[in-house]
Amino acid sequence: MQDELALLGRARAFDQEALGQIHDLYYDAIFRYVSFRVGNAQTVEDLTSEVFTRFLSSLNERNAPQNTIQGWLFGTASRVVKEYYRRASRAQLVPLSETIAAKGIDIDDKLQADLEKQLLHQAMAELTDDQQHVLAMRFGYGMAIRDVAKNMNKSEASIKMLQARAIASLGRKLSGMEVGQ
Amino acid sequence: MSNLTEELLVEILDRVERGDAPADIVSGYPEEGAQIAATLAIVDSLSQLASRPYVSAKQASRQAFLAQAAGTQADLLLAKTPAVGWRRLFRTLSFATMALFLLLFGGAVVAREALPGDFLYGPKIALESARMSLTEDSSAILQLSGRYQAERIAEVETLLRLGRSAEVEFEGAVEEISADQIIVAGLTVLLDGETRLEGRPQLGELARVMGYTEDGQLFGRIIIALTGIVVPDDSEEIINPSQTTPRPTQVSVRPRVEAATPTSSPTPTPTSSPTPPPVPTVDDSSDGDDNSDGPDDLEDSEDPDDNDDPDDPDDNEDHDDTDDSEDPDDNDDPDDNEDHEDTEDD
Repeated sequence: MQDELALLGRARAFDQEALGQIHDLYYDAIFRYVSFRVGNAQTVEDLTSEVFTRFLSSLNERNAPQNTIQGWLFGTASRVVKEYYRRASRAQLVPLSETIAAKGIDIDDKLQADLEKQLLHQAMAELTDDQQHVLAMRFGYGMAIRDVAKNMNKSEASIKMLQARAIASLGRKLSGMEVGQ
Repeated sequence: MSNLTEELLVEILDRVERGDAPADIVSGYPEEGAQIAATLAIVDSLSQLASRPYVSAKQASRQAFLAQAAGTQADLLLAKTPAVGWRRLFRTLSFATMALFLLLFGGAVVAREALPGDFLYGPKIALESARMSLTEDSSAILQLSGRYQAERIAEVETLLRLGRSAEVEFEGAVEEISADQIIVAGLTVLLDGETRLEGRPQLGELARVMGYTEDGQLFGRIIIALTGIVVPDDSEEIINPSQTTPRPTQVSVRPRVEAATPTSSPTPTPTSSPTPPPVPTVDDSSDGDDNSDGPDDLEDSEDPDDNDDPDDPDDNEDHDDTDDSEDPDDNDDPDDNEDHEDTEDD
């Protein structure tokens, strides 16, 4: 924590070495988080870079990270992904149910064998932002529940419930209990 | 799967986090075995969903990130520097005033030829700035940036040839350094006791020069080392090919990560490699939570108002918050989401 605060202090002075360290330390984590929520590889690279660009822009703004770089970056990554889907949904909105119907996918077999990434991403995109955020930190980055709770400033019990509801909801969407009705 | 209670799901996910084998978990609940197996299949798929970045993509992002940082730092230093000459004029007049001026006097063409110190140089810079700010496409921004930097260098060359005095500013690769001079983008900048060095200029890296011309010589006031930005030897020619001035380095103001192919990756910046970030897996995670929280506890903890983390960028961006509130589809409340799903079920 002390190290991170010191790093943040140097980053505020635009110390190139500190900024390079921050990029090196967190790029992979943010990339994994974003790739968990967005399927297209080029888009993932762009959105990950966007997170770091916003970090830089924030350093002299009132929304600059105060105590934790990691928490700020994950929060911003969530926002960037959300904005991306908002823009994308304005461009083309294809509900999961239509995709499943169009592809003639047998949902039962799907659950037994392999869940295609595309379907999973689409199903994920229909979850609430908090649910996606929790799943991305838990399974995209592999963060422990207590760290997710700290990052989101919620209790561990709340995160567990969010996670359980998210997975239940995913299960319903993928198994067709909600779609194609 | 929907028949599994939330409490049971929480319990199963706790066991997953503790690293229990899927078979053990399933066998522990004979009645719900199939549903739990389906849940574990989803968890397994989720744990394999994220991908890792290409090294080239990471390097490109790092380089763009540091270039942008250097640019921001230079702009901040510039903002703190007392305004002189055209810069004072530029700061004083808004772009709208400039545009009106140019419209009334038809000075756009004349301004294009203006040199630092000329009356129309301020409008010329304002036009360039406006064009940059109105450009959305990253590659177009880079092209403009390259062209304008080449223009700055050509202006200094003209001033030196004419022996005129003016305040100047430009960027370019450091080609030579000695105690009393530094050569940047082919221009020899004389250093004296009043010259301020920001950072340590390195050969082959980018530097910003702020100084003045006098009697055919160029004197440096402030030299800013844009450390970490290596000027590529064989970078793509994206400025106007007809330019005869030395090619400047393009400083990315909006980093756009190139495709992760070996041929498109820029020259990597030699840096020491810090400790890599931890990339734990689900199995690595364990919080030791015994899941003893009661239902009331869960209800209370899901209050969305409980998130007032100062490091949460959401808390501090009023604009985006407003944006959120305007979007009827934007539903962050897990409880609300459940309601939504109930509606779907209906």
